[in-house]
Amino acid sequence: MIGWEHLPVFFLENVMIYLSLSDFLKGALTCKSWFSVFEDENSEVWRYLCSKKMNEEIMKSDICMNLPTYKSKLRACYYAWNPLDCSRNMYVKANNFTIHRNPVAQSTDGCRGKFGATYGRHCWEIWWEGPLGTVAVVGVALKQAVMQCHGYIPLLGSDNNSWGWNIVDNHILHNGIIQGNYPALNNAPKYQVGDRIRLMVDCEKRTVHFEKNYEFLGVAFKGLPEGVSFFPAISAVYGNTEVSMVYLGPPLDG
Amino acid sequence: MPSIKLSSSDGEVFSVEVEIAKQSNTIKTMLEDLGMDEEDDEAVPLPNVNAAILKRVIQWCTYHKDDPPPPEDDENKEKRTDDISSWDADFLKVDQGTLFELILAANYLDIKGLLDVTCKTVANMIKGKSPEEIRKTFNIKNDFTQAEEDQVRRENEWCEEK
Repeated sequence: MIGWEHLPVFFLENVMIYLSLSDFLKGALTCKSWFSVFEDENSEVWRYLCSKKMNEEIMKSDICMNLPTYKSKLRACYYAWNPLDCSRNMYVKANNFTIHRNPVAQSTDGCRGKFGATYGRHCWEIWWEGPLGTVAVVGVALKQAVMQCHGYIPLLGSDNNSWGWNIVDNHILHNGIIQGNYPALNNAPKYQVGDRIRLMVDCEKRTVHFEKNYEFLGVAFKGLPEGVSFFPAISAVYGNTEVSMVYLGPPLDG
Repeated sequence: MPSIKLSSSDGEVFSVEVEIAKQSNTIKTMLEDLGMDEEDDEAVPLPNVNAAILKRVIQWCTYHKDDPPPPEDDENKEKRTDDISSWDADFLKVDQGTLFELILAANYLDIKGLLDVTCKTVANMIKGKSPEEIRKTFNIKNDFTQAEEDQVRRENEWCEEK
């Protein structure tokens, strides 16, 4: 009697295309041959699963420019802004990757991503699509960090539960205290709308650092607490400004 | 009804109506491109299909001879497995070896409808099962180390979300 291993290579792909994402993973976990379809991040199965979650226009847009595979695009969807975990003055746009802040006076508004890192190394790309206003902060927050407050303040970094980089004045903050200039340069260049910031969280070394336009800016925070999840987050004050985020996966450097 | 003869790998010859046989794109191409004459008495050799499987394939094609031609492949069309007709479901109540041989035959003979329904049937045998249950169903030997398996699970936790 012949077994599945006698079937041509296309067979597994032809079958797995009928599976849900979770069944696809379970099939892939059975053995290395079956895993090979899962590992091919641009396979027809990943293309199909991705097309069910996002339309082609978004896949081909600049938002996804650093997501080379269908699997990475789909994962970024699952790791995008959390519409249920942001200030009431914000909403996630239909593209799934951009948050919009409504024009509300005397309010600072934040948003967390859906995925919080507890182990390993993780990289997100975050960029403002609209004006910064007087305060604009990017960084990481624990689940309990507040995402809305009165006034115009650097909300991320305002207490013990978040760590932020205010890209308007280039200060890094934690526990309500300015920890220093970041990057640690005299007259570091100011953030320009559209510059892509990479937020790197290393749960092993317990550090956070940033890159801007592919340039490493130095370690921003060390000695992060153990055993908690770090969510990517921003806080914004400008009316109708928008901020986009995609999860890139583990950083590619060493 | 004009008919042609098909000869299986083990030498059995089947006489089949041309219209039924033409559901196989492989046979259709042979007839059209290679100028094989329908009146030809010679049997078309099918060296990759044995008599037992060929008989089943002919049975499937006979039942489906009046089906509309399969629609152009829309690659984003929803892939369902709950639309297998009850006749096909009964037809495919066979042991796994036979099911796989039907897949091989459907692929070689290029019969899209049969290939789709057999692959859907295999997919239904996977759905909702744990990796261990899938291994048992298909007699798969696990060649992952525990560490490798854990890593795949950890990196792909997001796939388990609804």
